[in-house]
Amino acid sequence: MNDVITCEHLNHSYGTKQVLHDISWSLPKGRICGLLGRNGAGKTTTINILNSFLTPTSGRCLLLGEPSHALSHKAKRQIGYLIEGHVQYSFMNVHQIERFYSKFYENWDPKIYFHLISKLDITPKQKISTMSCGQRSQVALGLILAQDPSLIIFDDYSMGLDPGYRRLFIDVIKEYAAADHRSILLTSHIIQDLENLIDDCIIYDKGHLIANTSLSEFSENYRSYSFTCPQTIEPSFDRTTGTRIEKLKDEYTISGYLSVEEANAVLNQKGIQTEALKNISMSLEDAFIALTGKY
Amino acid sequence: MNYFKAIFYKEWVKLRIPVGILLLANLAFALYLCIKLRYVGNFNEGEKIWSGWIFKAYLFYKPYTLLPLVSAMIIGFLQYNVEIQNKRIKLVFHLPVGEEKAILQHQIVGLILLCAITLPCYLLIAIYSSFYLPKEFIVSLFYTALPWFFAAINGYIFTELFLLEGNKLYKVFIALLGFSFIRNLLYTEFYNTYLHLLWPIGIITVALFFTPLLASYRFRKGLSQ
Repeated sequence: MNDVITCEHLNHSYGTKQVLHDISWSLPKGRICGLLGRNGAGKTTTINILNSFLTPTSGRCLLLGEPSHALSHKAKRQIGYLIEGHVQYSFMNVHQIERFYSKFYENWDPKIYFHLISKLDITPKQKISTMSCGQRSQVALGLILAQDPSLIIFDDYSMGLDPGYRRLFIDVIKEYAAADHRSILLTSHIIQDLENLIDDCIIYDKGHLIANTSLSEFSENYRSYSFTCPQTIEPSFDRTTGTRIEKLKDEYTISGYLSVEEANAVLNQKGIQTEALKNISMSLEDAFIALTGKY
Repeated sequence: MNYFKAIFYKEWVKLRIPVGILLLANLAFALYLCIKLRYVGNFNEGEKIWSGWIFKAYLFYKPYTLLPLVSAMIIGFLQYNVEIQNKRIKLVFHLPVGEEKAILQHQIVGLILLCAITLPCYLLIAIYSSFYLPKEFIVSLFYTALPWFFAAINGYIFTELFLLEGNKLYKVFIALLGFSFIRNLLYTEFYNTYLHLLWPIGIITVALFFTPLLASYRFRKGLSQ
């Protein structure tokens, strides 16, 4: 089995509103993949379907080769899951919660957990509810890593974390994933953190899959050009090619998997006459915003 | 792997203080009733107490009717309110236990704690009664108080159902159904009032015990929104 997660033709609606449109993608074993998109794009809906908290209207998901809605106990032991907001049993202290979870996982390794906990400035009997957001995130991360899972799903790991804790989280994830080729699927809105973390990116736009590629390919090939034009141009987005035309103050931008010549060809096809296109240097976050658009 | 022990441990950490407080409160009230019986016993002759019991349905323990029910609803609320906040119950469903088994084990823990709170009180009342009243009275006490215990169990189940259900309309239905059913278990005007209904009430209670599985199933499938 090479793919640890497979989504096939996922469609889902909340009432009459369709939120996922024929989504298909897979996560190969040993890769770290970022599931990205603006608020309301369908990321959490997908995560909920993967964790069997939602039944899709149609389509299916496989985790470790098993249907997501009917995972065996063996499969569940191999999947670590971080709930959005680092939710845990806040009425327990760090020792009580470790004692609780250790009973469910055969490969439980307390050393990893207590190694992370030792970095926190807490007392042994301090309840998790009295910890800061960053400290709670480390407790949640330690509990997941101690399970020794082969697949981890992080639903917005960065929520509420300051840059220090975000960096610590990323460093720990990278070290852990590299150690034994573990697979990780994560979502986050802090795109700049992901540049040195993820191998692949899956990008949603209003429930549609608009990018499914390696990070290097996306960063190198998705380009943005600025241009001026005397005529008024309506902003547009072609979901199939990922080509977006937007207005930016006194000039316009065209973004896509396009060379300069190809960008000119697209504009000419639309009857847009312009002077020379200027290449815009972009970070990953800039490329993400160029693809998904600004509010 | 003994998952039940782990779940019991978690719920114990969560509820030990409220359980302790409720146990003390229940025992204190039961003791108060016993002291009242002692007072009546010391100032009245034996045949007057008998007469009061047989002809006037003087059930000295009747004030204890609602306390098990209130205790059960408090336990149910404290146990499951934490689980539904921030959808924390996803942690339970993610455990390698099986979702239905996990919910049932949580319920069994809740019922064990409920028994730990209420059964010592019934026992205290029964033992103290035996100093003044015959064995027939103790047996009658058991049959008279059993519907209250069933009411407590159902109070726990309906509280759990109400909290696990996400749909507001269903919540209203659950609240009305629970109130209607439980109310009908508490019309104790005479000893052995429900003697011939105990088996049906018991069977219904056992059937209702499994209804939270439906609410948790609906939550897992996203049907409760």
